[in-house]
Amino acid sequence: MRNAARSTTVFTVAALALTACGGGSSPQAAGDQPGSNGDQIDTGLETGAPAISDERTAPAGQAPDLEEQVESGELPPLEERLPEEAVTIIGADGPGQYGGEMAFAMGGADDDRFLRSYVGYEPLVRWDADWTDELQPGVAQDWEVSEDGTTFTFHLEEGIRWSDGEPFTADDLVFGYEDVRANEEIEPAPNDILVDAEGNFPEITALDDYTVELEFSVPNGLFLLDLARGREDVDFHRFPRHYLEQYHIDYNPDADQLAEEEGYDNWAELFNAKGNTTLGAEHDARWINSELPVINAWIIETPAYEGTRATAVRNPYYWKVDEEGNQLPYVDRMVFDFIEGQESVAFRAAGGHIAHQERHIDHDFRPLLAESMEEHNFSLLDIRSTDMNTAVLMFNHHHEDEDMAEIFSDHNFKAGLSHALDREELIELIYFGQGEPAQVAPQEDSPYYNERLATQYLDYDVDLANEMLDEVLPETDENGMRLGPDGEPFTFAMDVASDRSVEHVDLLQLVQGYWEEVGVTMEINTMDRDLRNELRQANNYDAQMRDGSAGLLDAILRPYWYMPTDEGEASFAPLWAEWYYTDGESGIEPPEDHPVHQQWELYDEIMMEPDAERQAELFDEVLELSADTFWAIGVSTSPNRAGVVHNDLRNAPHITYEASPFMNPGPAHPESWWWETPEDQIVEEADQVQEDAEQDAERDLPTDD
Amino acid sequence: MIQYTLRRLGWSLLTIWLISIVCFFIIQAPPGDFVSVLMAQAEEDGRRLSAAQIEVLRERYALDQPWYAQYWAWMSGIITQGDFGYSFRWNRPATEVIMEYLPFTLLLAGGSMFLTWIIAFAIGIYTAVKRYSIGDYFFTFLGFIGLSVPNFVLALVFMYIAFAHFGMTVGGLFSPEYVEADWSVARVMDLLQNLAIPALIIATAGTAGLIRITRANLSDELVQPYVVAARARGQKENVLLMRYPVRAAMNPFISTIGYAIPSVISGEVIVSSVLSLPTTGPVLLGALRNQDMYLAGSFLLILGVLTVVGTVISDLILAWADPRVRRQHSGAAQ
Repeated sequence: MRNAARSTTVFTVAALALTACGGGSSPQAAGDQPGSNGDQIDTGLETGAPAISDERTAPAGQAPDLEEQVESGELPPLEERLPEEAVTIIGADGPGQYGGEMAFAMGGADDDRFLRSYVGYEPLVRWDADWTDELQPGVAQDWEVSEDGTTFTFHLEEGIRWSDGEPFTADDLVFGYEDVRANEEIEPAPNDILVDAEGNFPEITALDDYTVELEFSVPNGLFLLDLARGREDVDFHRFPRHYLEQYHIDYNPDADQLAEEEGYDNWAELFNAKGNTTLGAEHDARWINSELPVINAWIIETPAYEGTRATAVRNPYYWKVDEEGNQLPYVDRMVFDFIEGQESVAFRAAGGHIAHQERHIDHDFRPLLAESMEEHNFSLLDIRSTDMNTAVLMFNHHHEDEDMAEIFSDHNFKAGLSHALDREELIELIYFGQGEPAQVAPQEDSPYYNERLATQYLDYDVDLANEMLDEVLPETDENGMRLGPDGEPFTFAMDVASDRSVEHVDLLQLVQGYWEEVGVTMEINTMDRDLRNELRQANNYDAQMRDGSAGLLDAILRPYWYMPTDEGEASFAPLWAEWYYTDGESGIEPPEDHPVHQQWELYDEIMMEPDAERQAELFDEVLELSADTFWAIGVSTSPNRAGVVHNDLRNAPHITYEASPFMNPGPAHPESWWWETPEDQIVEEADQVQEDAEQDAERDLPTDD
Repeated sequence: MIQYTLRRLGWSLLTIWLISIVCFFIIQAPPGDFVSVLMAQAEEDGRRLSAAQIEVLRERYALDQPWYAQYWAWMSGIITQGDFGYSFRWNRPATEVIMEYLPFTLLLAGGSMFLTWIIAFAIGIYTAVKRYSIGDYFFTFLGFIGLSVPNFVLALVFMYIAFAHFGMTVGGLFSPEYVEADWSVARVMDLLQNLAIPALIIATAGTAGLIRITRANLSDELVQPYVVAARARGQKENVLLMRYPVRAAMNPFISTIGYAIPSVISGEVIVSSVLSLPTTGPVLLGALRNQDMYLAGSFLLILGVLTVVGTVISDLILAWADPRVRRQHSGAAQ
């Protein structure tokens, strides 16, 4: 299986070469692209993405529009707005120029993932763009974890200011944790990450203006990794105390009255609308309320969640600079158009109207994009997805019928069925030859790769399959079909959500054929996603399938493909999982001798373990047990996806990782991206357009763009 | 006539009430609710809603109650306060969401209905007068192509042509530079330009039926004795055609008002989703997929009411426009 890994690499390199030929600027080959200023700066990252420099720089330059505002006295001078020595971001194409706008196609008015990752990724500690487990300084320039993993001390970046000019201090964090996250009226159900394993909030203390200490009563081993995700419902440094106190009943006794005046039921609702995220709809005030002070590179200008476009403009108090001391961001404005249809997104991308986009570009549109990228001056992004398997086939280990449960839990049954799959043919027919045979396991370039789990039972060997299945279902009828313990023909049904993935149904039809060859009958149940989930929760199914995610660094945060934990997406033992995470209150208790108990003990240990290396060792043991149990059958690795990037956009990496915990491309510092031709990168001003239109009208011509 | 009108109105109220129950029941029928959709989405996003969060949400949205209790709360809100309930997904009152998208929807629906009528009227008369000619076959063929090709395929084809040959930005009601612009002549022109394609696509589906009906009705009229008589008196052919038989053949246009409104709006769902237009279509689709029940319910109810109102209006107009219909009605009333 090492071979397979090598050929994946070869594939990637080939893809890179292709993008380079197409006029792209993959970091390795960017020297020969038109308009580049020659030498590339090594940012120390494999993806070539911008990174935080070890050196700090004194602020020395700012955008022309801010300069004007300083001159007219609307804004204090640069040195009064920024830290004396500011965090410095270096990009492969070097320091750039101000101006221009970046345009994106959001998948709808509530697809705020774009805003969170392009505009709002400012966590306390951050991922680097290569997504290694080495956390980078974010709003916290440094941090310490006590040896027992209970106490976290964060040293905040000094001199950060909120976008209204007020200083950002430890006090804001204390307010955010104590008065917002831990307030029952604001957050009736706080996120699990904010509390420790026993459900308690930590003690939070401001040691000085820039130092905060969090003390949990029991160790919280994955706390830092969870913070790096920059989640809108976890971050506690996003609440500007000076602004939000007026809406908080503890600080303003009239807050309820204020809420009533503004048409809200109570002060907590008003508070959430002004500065927090609403539970359920999850509308984030950062993308609605332009008055809300933030520490992001851009501030919302046109709100999201309504209309057809959201925009964000430069934050004059943003606290990062380039190596020459120019205040970031370079780009004036971010423009997010709401586009529901995937086809429309693809056409917009193909027309070169998108600056940079990693999401909503379906595989099917690759030819269209490849065809038009030269004419419209953009390149394809090589996106390495965290998805680790195209199809995970999962049997119900706690089936209500005990005979079925026994068969589905039988190692030989699953291993036999796995050997019966001709994965090479499946990949050829369903995925056009992209991908390699693989089981359900973390990917090879993740720190948690476990070779046995990833590669066992992959060979296509019908004889071996039959041999193994004979151990479980030895009796057959006259046609060679296997009989169950009750003497009736053995069949089971595989549930698949056809509303999400059409190719899964095609794939299952092939699987059905392979398994028939070894005498096992599978029925295919196509259904809606919600029904599938409901059947899973009701323990009313034989087997279910879907694609497998969390195969990179997020494997340890979302381990549910490798053991029953959380409700998760996995269907091999959801009720055992429920038993685990509800501490035995509901769900089903697995048999005492089942290795799942060991997996849980190990994972509990990981959650208490502050040391990353030890965490990885423990997780490897979890995966070894997963290999023993062989929870689910995998098919093949997921092919890399494509995105688009404009050829004139500098510093933006052309290779990225994609995973929801990764917040891509946030870790690649979009604030440091700049335009080679800023004047061309402006969504035309209405006045300008009107003039053009008038001229057109004079010439009696129809207006056309 | 008055008695007829009153009876019509009475029946339509009953129909609307039944529609509201059926709507609500259908929305509740699929498995899961808004919270289970949220859970599935959180799951795909790599998060998990805690049991406490789920409980709080179900309680907040009153999803833990039986459907008839929810229906009662919804209905009494509508009748007593005109409150159509709250959209979970949009975090706003359902009516507010609908009102935001309704103007463009009506514009698009009106536009495509207008186009349907123009095309169907012209072709219908032409094909009736020149029956069995090459032109008749050609236009009839065209009409049936329009009827049989699904709207979304047409939308995709138009999109590709616009992109590949005219370099136009596709999707949305405005070109990107006009999205934030103030209203101006140029912006209106831009809007109309962007509306033309979807309106035409929606219109193609409806024309074939109307063409055939017009053609058939007009063909019947053209051989009537009064036409022959008028012609014998030396009436000019064009004037004759438009003044008498065409007027008599107009009935189907009027009687389609009723079902044209909902069919245009539902035809718009797919086209708008593909072309990414900010109309009610994609919002309705999203509401149904997300189990945003009060928004979806309000939509369906409003569509139902529009259909009923449309039918009543078309019945009344028909009675007013066509003496024969009026006679029959007054005859029935006596």
